Amino acid sequence: MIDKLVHEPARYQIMAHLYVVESADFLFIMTQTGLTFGNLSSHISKLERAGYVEVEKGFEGKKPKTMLRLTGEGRKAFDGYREKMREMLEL
Amino acid sequence: MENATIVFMESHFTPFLIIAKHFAMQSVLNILAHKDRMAKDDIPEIERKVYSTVHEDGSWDIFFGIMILGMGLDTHFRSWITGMGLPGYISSFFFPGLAVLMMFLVKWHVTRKFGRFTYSPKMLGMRDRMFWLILVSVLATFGLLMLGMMAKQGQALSEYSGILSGLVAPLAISGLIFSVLAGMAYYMRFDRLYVIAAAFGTAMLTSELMRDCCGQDKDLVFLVLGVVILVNGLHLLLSLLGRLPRMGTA
Repeated sequence: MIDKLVHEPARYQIMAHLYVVESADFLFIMTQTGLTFGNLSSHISKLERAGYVEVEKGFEGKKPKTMLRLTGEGRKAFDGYREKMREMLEL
Repeated sequence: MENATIVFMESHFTPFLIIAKHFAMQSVLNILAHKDRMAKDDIPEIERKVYSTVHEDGSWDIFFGIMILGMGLDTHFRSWITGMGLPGYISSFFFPGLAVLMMFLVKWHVTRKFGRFTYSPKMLGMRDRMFWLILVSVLATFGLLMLGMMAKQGQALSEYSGILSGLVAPLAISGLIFSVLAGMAYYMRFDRLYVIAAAFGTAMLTSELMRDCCGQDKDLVFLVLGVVILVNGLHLLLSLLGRLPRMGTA
């Protein structure tokens, strides 16, 4: 079975961008994926609930800052999903 | 009886059939979209895109533009500030200082708007290797310059002085500049830096070769190249700022 949480295109994009970095802030992922604030926020919540993404809220001076990081489980799920898709699509 | 069953099933199950069809269709479309994504948007490609965004702000172009422009303006700037009664060595620090300051300001401003990321351990390893490459290259350049100066003053290696003060030293310095910048471009995944490396290396060689025949006109090479790189950097910066969404960090 493929992981439906990763399969959704927007969430795949979010996870792929977090996969190649150590961590990134919310704004960076938003500008990179082209998702709107609300859309990204909702996808991040789903990924966080699944334990795939770690969200760290803090402040930089007086400005709020949200850092996102792919967890070990998230990395494993992303690898597994890609492997499965590669097998299915015979790429 | 049979017809009645079909009518009953159609009337009661049609909404479910439509939904099932919709989901099946959606899955097929998702898989097709994913196949396309897997084919063209693979992880190395995304990695390259993410890391190249660091260079989209034109900060490195502005840095090298000011540095090279400074090399071209150095003679005139030095005579201007000594004319004002200030020590000439200020000129050696002014343009590099301005370049670093401008780069810092651009990075600071763009990061506030663009967001930031931290490098993965793999990329950090690459950055470490780049640091050692730059350090070794700087030491090699310093050694080469010292050797050239010693040869010119006839303190040592007098038999090589003719060769060193001729074509070999300019070639070596140009090659070194190109190698260092090309090494940086490779580790930073910054393709435009290859062009700057080649142009800077060539400008250095041309300028050294023009030294004997053209005097201060050799600075023109750096002036032109510096302006071109600086203008390109400013253009990149302005277009990036125009593209970014206007909002603070989330």
